[in-house]
Amino acid sequence: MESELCSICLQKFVNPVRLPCDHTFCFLCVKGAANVNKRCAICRQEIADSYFDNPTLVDETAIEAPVFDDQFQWFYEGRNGWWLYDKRTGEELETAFKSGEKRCELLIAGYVYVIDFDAMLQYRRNEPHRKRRVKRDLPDSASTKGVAGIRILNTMDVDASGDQQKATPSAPSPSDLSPQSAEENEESERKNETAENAATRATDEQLSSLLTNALNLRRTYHETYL
Amino acid sequence: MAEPVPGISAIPDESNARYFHVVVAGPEGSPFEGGVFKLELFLPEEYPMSAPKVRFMTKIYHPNIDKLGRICLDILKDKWSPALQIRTVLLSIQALLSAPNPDDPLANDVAEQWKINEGEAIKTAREWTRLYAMSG
Repeated sequence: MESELCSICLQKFVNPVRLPCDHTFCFLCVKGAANVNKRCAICRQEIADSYFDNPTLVDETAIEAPVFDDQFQWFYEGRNGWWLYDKRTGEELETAFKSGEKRCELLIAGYVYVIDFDAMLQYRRNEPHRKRRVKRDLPDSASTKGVAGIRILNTMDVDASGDQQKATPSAPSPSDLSPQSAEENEESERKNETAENAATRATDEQLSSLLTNALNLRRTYHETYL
Repeated sequence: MAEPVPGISAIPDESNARYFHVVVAGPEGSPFEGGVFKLELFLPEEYPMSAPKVRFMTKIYHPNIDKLGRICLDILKDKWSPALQIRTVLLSIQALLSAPNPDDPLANDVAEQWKINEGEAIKTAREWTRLYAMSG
């Protein structure tokens, strides 16, 4: 790994993957960036569409999903199963949930998502009609697809310490490569969304609400000191 | 944490942490030397997946910067990368002041003048720097 921080989010790597050009990013960072431009953020080498179906994990044993109160995990619904949130997002969700908020906003793969704790739904803030269910539930290896878009084998166990879950990732099985698999990949459905479209969305109102939630500004804090 | 960049500062607005008040000193040896140029920098919601929006607030005579302060710089457009940061963007803008590129103009009249009579263009750029960027 070339440095300790992901050069897209400027935070510690979460589920790092290595591109064919040998540069390393968080899986969700590189996936989010690819929605705008399918090139490596460092060297601009092109990234094949197929890369995201079977990314090269830097540490296959370190795909983490956090466990809370010794047993609960956060899931979002996929086709034919549930995805676990990754460590960073799961912890942010839990913090908001525990503080009694009715909803929270999270930055995931370059998009602002709203999680509604009353309805237990999640949606992109700019696309409120496209909802998917979320749940805070006990681990269930049978219905769990993987962690935040990275598929794993159904061999997940909560370890004795109870605060970490390790999983063994796998290449997609033949059934995962069905058309459904591609369809459910929400990010790839957005291929047609251009940066221009996205840029014109940000109204002052949205921005002030964003500020209130102090969201998406983590990176800015790192950059304020020029 | 990155080292401060000499001649560049960016301070977030008190009421909007996505809006930065930027000051760039005119580089030594350029017609903008001695000038203090104010810019505004805005981080869109999609940042860093899309580029920050940057504009000169101080009037400047430069072939790649137009009357409205808009900047013609590839990394702010199609060459944006999410690995770029506010500091790298502002360094690139400072470098653009040192190396005007009249072959890729935004302000056509300025670029034309820069190509026809560079000496005169540089003189005008100095004059504008004195008039608009030294009042501070």
